[in-house]
Amino acid sequence: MGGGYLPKDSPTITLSCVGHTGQYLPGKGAETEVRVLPSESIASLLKRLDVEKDLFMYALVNEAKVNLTHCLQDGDKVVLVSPLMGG
Amino acid sequence: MGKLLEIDLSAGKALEIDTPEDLIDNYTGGRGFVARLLWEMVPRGAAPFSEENVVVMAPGPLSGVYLPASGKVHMGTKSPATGGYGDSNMGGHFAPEIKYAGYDGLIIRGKAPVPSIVVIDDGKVTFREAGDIWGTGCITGEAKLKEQLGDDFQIAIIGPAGENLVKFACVSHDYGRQAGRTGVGAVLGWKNLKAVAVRGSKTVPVARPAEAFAQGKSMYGSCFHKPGFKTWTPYGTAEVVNWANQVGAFPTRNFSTSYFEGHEGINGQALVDRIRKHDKGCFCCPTPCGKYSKAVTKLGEILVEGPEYETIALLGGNVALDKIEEVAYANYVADELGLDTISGGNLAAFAIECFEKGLLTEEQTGMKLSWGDLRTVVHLLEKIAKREGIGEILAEGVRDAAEKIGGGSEKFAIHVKGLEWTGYEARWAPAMMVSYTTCDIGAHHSRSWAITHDVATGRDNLEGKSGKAIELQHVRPTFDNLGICRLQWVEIGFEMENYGKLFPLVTGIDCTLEELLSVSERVWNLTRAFTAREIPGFGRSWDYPPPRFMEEPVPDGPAKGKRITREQMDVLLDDYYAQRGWNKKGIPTRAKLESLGLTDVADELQRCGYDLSE
Repeated sequence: MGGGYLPKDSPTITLSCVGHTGQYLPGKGAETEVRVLPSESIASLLKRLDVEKDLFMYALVNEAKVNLTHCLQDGDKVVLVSPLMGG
Repeated sequence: MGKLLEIDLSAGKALEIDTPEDLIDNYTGGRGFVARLLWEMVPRGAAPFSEENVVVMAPGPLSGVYLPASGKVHMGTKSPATGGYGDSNMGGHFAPEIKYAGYDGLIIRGKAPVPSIVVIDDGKVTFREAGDIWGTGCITGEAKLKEQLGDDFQIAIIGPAGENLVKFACVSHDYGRQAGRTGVGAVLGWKNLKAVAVRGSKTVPVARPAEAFAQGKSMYGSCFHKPGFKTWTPYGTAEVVNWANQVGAFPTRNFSTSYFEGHEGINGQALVDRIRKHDKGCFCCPTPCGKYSKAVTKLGEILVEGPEYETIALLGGNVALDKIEEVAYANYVADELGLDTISGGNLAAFAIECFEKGLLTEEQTGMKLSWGDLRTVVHLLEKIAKREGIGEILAEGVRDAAEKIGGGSEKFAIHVKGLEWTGYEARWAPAMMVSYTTCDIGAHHSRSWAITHDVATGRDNLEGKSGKAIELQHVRPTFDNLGICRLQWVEIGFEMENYGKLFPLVTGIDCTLEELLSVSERVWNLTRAFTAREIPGFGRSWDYPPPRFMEEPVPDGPAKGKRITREQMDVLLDDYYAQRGWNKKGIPTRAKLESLGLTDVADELQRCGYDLSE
């Protein structure tokens, strides 16, 4: 479990990534349980994980599109979305 | 063994030839076929606009097969824009139709005596006069041609820009898909070839059909279950506008800066909320990124496929249009005229900056040119396509236009090797920068899109950046060799290993993913050699960015104060050449070429006077 040295009763989320920048996350983008601070934002979590937030365009939290300032709750299912190219 | 169709426009004849085994074994298909066939068929020193130049259109071995997004065709020629190797690809349905008509590729030679259309109907080839189709726009012309031939024909067509030999004229298909880059459309225009129409009913031979079907089905299932599958499709590539601004990489006002204050008016949300009517996908695509849009502007109402990210960047931020409706309108105008929106946006921005700096007058341009003005953009696109007035100069591409206009304008002519820059401003992204400057066709993003590697590993750090560019320059064009779209891999993290599993099941060729990637390296060296063969003295000096990026720090936004220095470029290029097995002059060594099975290429470069020592 990632998320640094937080108490065992800290809120826990699942974190994964869609797209190529998942390689920079714990679990290499595969679904991983992570402890978070109460009401911690996604951007703050990424900073604690030492992952650059600009590697992601936005996130899906429980399938809803949110930006990285969104604050997390226990049990959230978070999917980070990589940038892409094309057109 | 498959067949290639060799079309001689001068003689009005077509000949089927067996696809050479060397081509199948060593070049995979698609881009690989294009590169090798051009190397062999275009005589050294042939003018891009000449009967000797050749256009190759090649799907890949996986095109038209049941798997996600198997609808890509590669088109290549000696580029009139750069004088070197040129290619571009497009999705839609043209690639599978070539396969269903029985061919691994089309080779187009010579010049038709009158404006013509080539119709390929299941192996029967006819040459028709273009008649009143000549002179039409791409969208209008395709519709007319379908009325004449039948809706089941797939059509590749050029517009007025191609007919008028605009050096960045594109080839259009399916009312909005383009092989946009390097001026393939202009070469077809010179050859008097308005369109190629193809219809086929044959089956693509599959070596182990049951297993291939099972693998294809499994690949679809895997795509459908990726977590981003549902959310990615509605926005398509336009989604990246916000991100590109957030990281200071969005082309703005002729790349003078990298953050556009009006980006929220032209982002994916604006597209979806204000103009999108429905999604439009290519052949067998599970994640249709095309957006069909309806936009109302002061110049009129249009329906257009798009705009995609690249068009939003170059016909949006780069000319300072801040309304998605206006970007869509400019997109439509470029599509109908048959202009590459990337190069077109560059040329419009370049002209506006020249006007702003007093290097062009109202008398020369025909109107006052302004940033953020749709009339300005449309006026310039139309002048370029018709080669009227200032358009005669701009139609030559930004490198040549700057040479003619002078006054120091070459400093803000944004290109590499004569090909205009695409949608990522890279002064603070060294891996992306070296990807652009070493790209085999010029300043293009699709070979190596490395900017996220810069973000992940430090944007001021040069270490490992050239290696990443090389890695991606082999991975990404492998999709082009296979004749499939890479966006599932990019967008939703669809594993590339799947294609390595499928390839032998379809082709019967025992080949691993690693071997497919090694083909990509062979092709990369071959295209470099092609350009070296065609441009005397070619080498390192062609691999630097324009002066603006080395001399002018970004004035504002997230990348404020950043530039890439010449010394930094030297570090990147030294590393790049060393890892590639090229010498410091940027020429592949004999040892490298021979290790890739390209001894004949080494011999030819030596005959051209190149030093191939380490």
